Amino acid sequence: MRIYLSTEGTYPFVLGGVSTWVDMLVHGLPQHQFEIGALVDNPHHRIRYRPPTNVTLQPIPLWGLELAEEYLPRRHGWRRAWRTSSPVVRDHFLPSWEHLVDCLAAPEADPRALGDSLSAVAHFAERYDMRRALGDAAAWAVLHDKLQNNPIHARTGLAPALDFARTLYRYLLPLTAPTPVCDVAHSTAAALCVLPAIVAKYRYGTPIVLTEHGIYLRERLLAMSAESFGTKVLFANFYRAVVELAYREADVLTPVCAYNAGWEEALGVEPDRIRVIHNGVDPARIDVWPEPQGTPTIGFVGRIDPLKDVLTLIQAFARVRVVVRDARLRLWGPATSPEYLRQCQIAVADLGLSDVVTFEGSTNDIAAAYGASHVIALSSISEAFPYTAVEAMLAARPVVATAVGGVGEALGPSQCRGTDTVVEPGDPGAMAHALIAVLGASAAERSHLGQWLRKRALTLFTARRMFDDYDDVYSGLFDRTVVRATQTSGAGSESNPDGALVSDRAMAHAVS
Amino acid sequence: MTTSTVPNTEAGELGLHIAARTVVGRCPAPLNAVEVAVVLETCGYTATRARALGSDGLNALAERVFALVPLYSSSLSRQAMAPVALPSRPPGPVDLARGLAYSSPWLVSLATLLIAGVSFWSSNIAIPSIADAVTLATAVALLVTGPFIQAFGRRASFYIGLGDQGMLVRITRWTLELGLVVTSLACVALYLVRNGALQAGTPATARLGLAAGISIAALQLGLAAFYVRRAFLSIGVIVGLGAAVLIWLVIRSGSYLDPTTLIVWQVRLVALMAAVCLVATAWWLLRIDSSAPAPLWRPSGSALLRAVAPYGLYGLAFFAIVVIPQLVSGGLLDGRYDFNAPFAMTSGVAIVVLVPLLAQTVAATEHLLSRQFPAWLSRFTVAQTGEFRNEVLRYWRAQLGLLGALGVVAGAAVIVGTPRLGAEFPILEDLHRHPGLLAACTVGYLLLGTGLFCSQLLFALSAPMRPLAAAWAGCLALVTASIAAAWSGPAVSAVVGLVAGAGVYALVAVALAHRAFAHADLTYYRTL
Repeated sequence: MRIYLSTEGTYPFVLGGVSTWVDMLVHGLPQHQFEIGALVDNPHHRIRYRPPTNVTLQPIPLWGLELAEEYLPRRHGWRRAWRTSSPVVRDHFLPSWEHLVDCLAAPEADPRALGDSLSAVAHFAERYDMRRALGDAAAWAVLHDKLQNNPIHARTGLAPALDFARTLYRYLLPLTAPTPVCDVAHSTAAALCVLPAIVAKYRYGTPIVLTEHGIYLRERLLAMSAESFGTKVLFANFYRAVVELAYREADVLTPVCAYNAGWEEALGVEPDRIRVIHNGVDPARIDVWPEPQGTPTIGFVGRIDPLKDVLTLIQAFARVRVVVRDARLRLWGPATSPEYLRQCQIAVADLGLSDVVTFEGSTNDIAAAYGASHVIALSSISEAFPYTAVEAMLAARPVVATAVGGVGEALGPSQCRGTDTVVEPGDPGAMAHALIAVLGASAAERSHLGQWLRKRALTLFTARRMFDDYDDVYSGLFDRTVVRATQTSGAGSESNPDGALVSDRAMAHAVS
Repeated sequence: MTTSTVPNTEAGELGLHIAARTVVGRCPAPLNAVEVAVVLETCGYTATRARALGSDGLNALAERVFALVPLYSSSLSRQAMAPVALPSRPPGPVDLARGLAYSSPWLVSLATLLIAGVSFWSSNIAIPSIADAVTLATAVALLVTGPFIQAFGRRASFYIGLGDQGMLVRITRWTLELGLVVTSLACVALYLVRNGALQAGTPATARLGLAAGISIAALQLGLAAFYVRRAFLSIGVIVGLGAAVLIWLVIRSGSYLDPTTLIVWQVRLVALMAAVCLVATAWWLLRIDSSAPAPLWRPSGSALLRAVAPYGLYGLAFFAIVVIPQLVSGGLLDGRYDFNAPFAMTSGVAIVVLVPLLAQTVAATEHLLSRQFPAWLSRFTVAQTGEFRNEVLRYWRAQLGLLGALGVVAGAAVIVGTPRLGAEFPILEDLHRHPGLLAACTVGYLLLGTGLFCSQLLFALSAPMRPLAAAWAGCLALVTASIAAAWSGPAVSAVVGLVAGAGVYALVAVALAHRAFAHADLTYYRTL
């Protein structure tokens, strides 16, 4: 099968997280050919993962270029630009553009209408030059008038309004990316990277799988929380439009945890299209080390980042030290925010823990980090389905973690001496209580809990299981396409709204 | 209601208010309950905690908290979007001085002319066949390098704006290499046509023309890399050193200097300056910090060409307006070229009026782009777009007025002043015989400077199609007027063409620039 896999700011240019997942997927399903469309901020990146032979890569940079064609193998750029005359823009672009702008400017936009309008723009981009259309005076007039006549936006600064308008061109660039004829399009987020997959669906009828590691809308809203209201409305509505379109057009949604599925349902996805596929880890990557001798050690493996709430962990550790006087805390991972790292270091110093808390920095030997710890702590206030939890489970280490995202799903009803090891986030007392329970238990009790977690991980969260699940999803969609192709060929050809044959090529390819 | 639920409800109500205050602390103006849910979640609110507060889950809790947000969120946070204005001041003497530095090659040439009596760039040479060869070679060099320089300038500025040193290095290298190859081929073609097909001049003069063409083209391309980096001082130093050598040579040779020796030295010096520019550029390219990874994929040549085509075509048209009158004055319309000394001399002097106009152009362009436009944008709201447009228009008119005043002063100085210098500077002694030609050429170059001013401002706003249209309209007018005036002789035909071409170019450019400034928001938006 040929899979069009679209990524955004991840594989193969960025290490960790979703990139690791993509790397595992393409290596783990060598029977499939993956055509990766990689959205990146600019064309200057280093390849961090060596793609296997079943992968071809097409970068889609959003900035660092003037014309979309500069880095995309898109033909007939001159002709496309020539064809996009002002009358064409007026007749074919402005109606959908006006609708989109209406939706974007509304404080309580209808998500469905947003999706509709973005879909119409996507159809336009298939045939015409988006840059010329957006650069048309009428396009600006529409946008400007709508903003000016809206009490919320009329008071927005001209600079952010123009920046938003100009950013839209960059955000819509993925619509112009050429998408190969594939059997399945798989988007790794309900973000801008879903747009090429949607074009593939419109053009060839390619079914879409959508995997959400984090909830894109949630992440964007978090990133914009301090922005001014007017700017936030515009951008948030655009992100909402993308998410809505992604959810609507996806044939199957495969969130990495039930927690994400809950968000998707809350945002309007029917449960029967959702199939949770948990992230898996290759057990061979994680050696099981015997419990270390000596000082009781709490390990933390992750980024030093406000979302990981390391400060709460430090406060919890201070309480642990009152009971377990020789305990120490080792934190492995890079600091994403120097300011937050400084806050953590100050907290450590203020609590008099400088001798027993160490910031170990990044490590390539994760198994050794787990092996050197008696218990792994995960204090995040926001997570999806963290690899750290699964890796720690495979390393047969007890895990004390906060009940955020899919962490509870990973750890299950984990208890030590009758104490839940999954605690409420932002509560140092609860975390300290659970850590004391684990460190106060005997080595045999900890080992028992660790083995139980490892067994759970080997049953539910292995890479093999994840590969099989995705293979099953791909096959299901492929079979559905073949059946539809057969029915269509029996019933005569069907036309899409543009008049082009729906997925004749794709269907022929699928049948063959 | 049972007694046990009362305290719970109260605790729940209090908890809701605490949650609302917490949310507003993180996010002063939440859009909707979804955003509130997101913020609550990052503050440690889970489904369990939501249930403790009497809600079915986090989303239900978010709905209730969102309803309380207006109590804690200042009404200003939804409305206070009045932009914070950035400071701005009009272009001052420093900007103008930088603009003058832009013209340093010209200023140095002028100084050389006055000190040593020889013009650095002129082909005003006593031996006609040499003058023919050098003039034609210069014309070809300018016409071919013009598009390269404009296209390069645009793309290099784009990469400088992005801070993309890697692509800046590449684009500089491509321009220098490809530009040198193309201009060399064009000069060789001219050499072959003149020497082989037309048998014009002697083989030696044809070779001199070839050398002059390639040297001038190399210098043009070499200087372009400096202009893009705004290294005006370096330009002044390189050209100044070349001029010093030339002056030293003239003074050392005493009362008589063989014109052939002089032109050979001039060509050698230009070649040397070009070599210095290219070596300095190569040194800069090697030193540049390109620790950023190289692009994994090269940009498509066709797309790149489409992006810079308007700039290249503009460069071609602009230099055509400069060069074609020279060729017409030599009899181009009769199918020949014979160096026209009076026209070359008067136009060579009149073009000096461009110096203050260029200074004003550079000062206004840089000021507009780096300070004035961001300041305007920061000051006005969407509702005040009309006021924003008026402000921009006022600025545009003021700058155009200043340009006009500078032009009038410079034009008067050239028309009235330079013929009087003939007594002190022998090279100018014939100027007083051609007052009409001098005045007409001066007007022509003033108009050209006005068109250039508008074009550069439009380029600064990334609106290349307007200058392109203006320059080509000017070209068309030039050719038409020259043909129409052909009956009156080559010099008149040339000057009529120059005035008509530059006039149309200026008129169209002013009109289009006015439109662009009148809708400055649209113009800026279109930079996409």
